[in-house]
Amino acid sequence: MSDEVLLDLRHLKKYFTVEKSFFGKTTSVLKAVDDVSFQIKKGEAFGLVGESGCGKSTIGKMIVNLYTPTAGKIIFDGTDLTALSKRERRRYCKDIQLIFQDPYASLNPRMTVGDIIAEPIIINNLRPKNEVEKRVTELLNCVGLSGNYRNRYPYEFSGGQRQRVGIARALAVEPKLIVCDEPVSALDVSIQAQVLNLLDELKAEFDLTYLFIAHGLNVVKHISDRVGVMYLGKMMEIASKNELYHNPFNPYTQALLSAIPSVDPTKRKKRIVLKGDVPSPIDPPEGCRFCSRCFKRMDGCGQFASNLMEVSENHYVACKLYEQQAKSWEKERSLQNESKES
Amino acid sequence: MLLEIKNLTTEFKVKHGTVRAVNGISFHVNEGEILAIVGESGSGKSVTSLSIMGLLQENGKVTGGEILFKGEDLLKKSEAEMQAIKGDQISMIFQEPMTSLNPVYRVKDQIMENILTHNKNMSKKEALERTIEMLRTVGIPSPEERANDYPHQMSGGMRQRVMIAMALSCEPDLLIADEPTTALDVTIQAQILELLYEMREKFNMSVMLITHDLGVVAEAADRVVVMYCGQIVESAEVKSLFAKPMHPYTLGLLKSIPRLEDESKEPLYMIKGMVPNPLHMPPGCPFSDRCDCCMEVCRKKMPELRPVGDHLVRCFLYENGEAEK
Repeated sequence: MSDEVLLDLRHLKKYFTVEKSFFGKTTSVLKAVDDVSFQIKKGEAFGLVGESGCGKSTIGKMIVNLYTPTAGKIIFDGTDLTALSKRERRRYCKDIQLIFQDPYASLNPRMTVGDIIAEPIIINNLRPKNEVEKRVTELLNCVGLSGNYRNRYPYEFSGGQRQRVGIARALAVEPKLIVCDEPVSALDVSIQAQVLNLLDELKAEFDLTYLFIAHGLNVVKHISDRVGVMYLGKMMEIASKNELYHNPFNPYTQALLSAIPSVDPTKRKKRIVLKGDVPSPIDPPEGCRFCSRCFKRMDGCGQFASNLMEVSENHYVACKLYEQQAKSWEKERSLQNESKES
Repeated sequence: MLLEIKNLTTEFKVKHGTVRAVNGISFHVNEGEILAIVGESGSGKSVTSLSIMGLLQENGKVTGGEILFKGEDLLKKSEAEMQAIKGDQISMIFQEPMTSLNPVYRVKDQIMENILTHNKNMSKKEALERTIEMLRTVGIPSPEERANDYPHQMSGGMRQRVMIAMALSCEPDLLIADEPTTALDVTIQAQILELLYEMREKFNMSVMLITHDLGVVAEAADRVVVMYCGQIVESAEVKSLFAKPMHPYTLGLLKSIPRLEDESKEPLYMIKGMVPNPLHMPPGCPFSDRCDCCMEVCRKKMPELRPVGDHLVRCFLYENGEAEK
């Protein structure tokens, strides 16, 4: 992993219009992603976790240009993708690929696996015509499938194999960044491990960068270097994976971690069980989004939300509880900088 | 013993032949116990529960064995007798809370229907009171108002609570929960598991928990049955199973889950290959092709399910003490 930033999201927002009045004025807005900023470094795997409806997939879709952001910037390799014209934007599609959640729905049932993988190569003119077939075989071997499978149709494959085909298709255009949107949540446990290991191997082999979106925290922890936790369109906490799992600050992260069943019956723990459901993103609570379910709620949480603040080295939290800590960390850091300069 | 399954076999007629989805399994559920049945897709765990409830599709049929509930064989009961038992003594909750409620009826009507069917003498007013009481028990806020909601007005977690309220409305002796938390988020899953636990204490019922998630099993179950390709490959007390898994399949499953405590960047353990096609089962042990400890005998003969220590295991490794080597 280098220090070079590959993807930089700045104040990204995506609002969907749910209802319009008779005269076409927007009356109800769903804030799927509301002012989210984070960076992914080259060669890094960044995990994005959160419950359904938190906006994690929406972010992925904005990055691969399936949604247009309402506001904010997506800076990829130094270029602001949101400022480009449609034609210019398409050039970058090749560099950013997506692996979908449902391997049963993401492959065209009428195309052979070979054609599915060859299509992006031909569209992007990556290989001369007579070499396409060789390249397809190569890609199939890369993901652990035999080249003879080229002429088969998706229905002849199991879920895990289909997901491998989806991965081969993403690799076909030699992307720099792959957005993995819940790539293993539709698979059985034994197959899940196979696909996770494959993703890990490919990352090292092709020098890839991943944005790994998932709701299974154990899966995210296995594959990621850094993890961001989202809730109702807001980023709640970002930290390196070990820091996040050992030392979660935000009460939501704590509850999320505690809710995961442990695979050890002798360690049945007292869980933090959150009350109630995730509120609707159409009408989110004022102030901190999590305040309606928070077990550490204080006065003022319902009125003002904290922004994401750095509370210790590379550990960012958005929570009122840590405002003091953030200030003292800022002081400490400026002192450190001064001493370095002098 | 509340429920005893003896040698149950269920077959499905499909285009190219007959698939034996459940192949001679035997197990029992004690009173007040949570028994978990784990397995991957295609292992026959859901078919087992549907066979007990008599809810198999038209092309499916129980071709052998006995299902003894309180000593009586459910397979010999008439349709009408089964109707009286279903929903009253045995209830079931399904995986998809989104699709298992009727969208055109109010929540209260759906729960009341079950109560009124099994309590002929009850008035509608009493049934409504009972419904609201049940909704309160499962933790739905302001149940008097929410009872008038239609399913689409509720979230996934709420709908699963309504399903549980419906299943428990007649205080059944046995609850069959088929993947009750799979469609839900982890924080809601924690709520629902907690609820199942409370309900078991409160009504002293037995639960048959069907799941693919070993985390849920470790968290909730008393005893575990592991299924693979329609057969039981291992069964034991939950602590003993997780501490000392014996069958290579159980061991592989446990090793292949990414763990939170794990700090290393080692690749995950993989069970190689995939579940065999049910129409072309290997002649010997169905797991032989994927097994790390496969021996010659495994490919020829089917091992028996036999007691090893306090487990029941179906594997040749334990037949002649090969495992110790």
